[in-house]
Amino acid sequence: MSSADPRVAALLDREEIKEVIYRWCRGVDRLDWDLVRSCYHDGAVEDHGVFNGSAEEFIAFGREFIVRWPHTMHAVMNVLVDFEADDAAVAESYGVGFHRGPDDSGAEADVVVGFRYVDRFERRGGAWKIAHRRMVFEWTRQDPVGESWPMGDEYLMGRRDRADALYEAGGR
Amino acid sequence: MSEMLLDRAQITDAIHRYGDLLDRCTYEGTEVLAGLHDVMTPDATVDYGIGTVHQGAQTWIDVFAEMAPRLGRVHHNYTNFLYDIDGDRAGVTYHALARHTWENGDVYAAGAVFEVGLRRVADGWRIASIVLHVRYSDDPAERLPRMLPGLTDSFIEHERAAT
Repeated sequence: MSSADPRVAALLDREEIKEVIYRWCRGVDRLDWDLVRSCYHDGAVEDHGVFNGSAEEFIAFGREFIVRWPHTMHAVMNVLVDFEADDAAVAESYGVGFHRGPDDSGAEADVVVGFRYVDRFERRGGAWKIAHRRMVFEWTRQDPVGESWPMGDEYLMGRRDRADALYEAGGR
Repeated sequence: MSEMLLDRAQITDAIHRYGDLLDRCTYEGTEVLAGLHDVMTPDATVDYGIGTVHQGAQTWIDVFAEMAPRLGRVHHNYTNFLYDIDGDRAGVTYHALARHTWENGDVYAAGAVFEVGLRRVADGWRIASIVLHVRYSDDPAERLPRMLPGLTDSFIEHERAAT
């Protein structure tokens, strides 16, 4: 989709870029690594603190690393996009990542991370994707998990596979 | 329809840039606050519920620059935007999660709602007024009195008065 109005065209570009950022989070939280891979251009670089290398290597690392937490949720809020050229932009995304799982003692804990994704986006072949991501950490916190709402079988719980409600509903 | 979407996008951008500059000044230095002139009107008013309604963008820059060294590293996340756009004026409310951290591990966290008024100027939307309503404040290390030693009113009292 495009528009003759350059302001609308820029708006559509921003939306496409934001959608890639959101899809990356969906992919990580659902362990949908094909989806994560689709957010990067070939040859993309990921600097993620605990990992620095190619996007493909990051996926191999991430799929082993993140399963230590049975539940994760990456929530992205403030997204700012600065266009450097028609086909290049810098996107900064504020967010909070929630990771619930056993700590070193085996007790349930919430690891919460405040972060910014600083991404170089490029449009190649008509598609905006990440060419270089730097994960900027702002703060972290680990809390013991207290009492939780007693949720029985009647509650639909999130899953990290294709049986999740998202995919049943036709989401991609 | 596209004009409305453009207005929303430009307004959101101005607000995100406002938050980004305030946060970055706690990492990079208060010089970055000069960028607020690009997102606020010169006569903008700011009421953070800390006893004074600040008049003018430059006044707010000076006030924030003075506070910044006491604020730790600040991280604001903005979400739940609601827009009321009427011609060249707009009112926006949005929710914010703010977190301040210090090297010794102290943390101050707050959830808040911003009420922001904006005006359209020649090259886009500018923030003309800001009112902050703090919904909760989590301050286990009692940092707030040190961050805001001139605090004359608690955030919660301000919130009660505003509602």
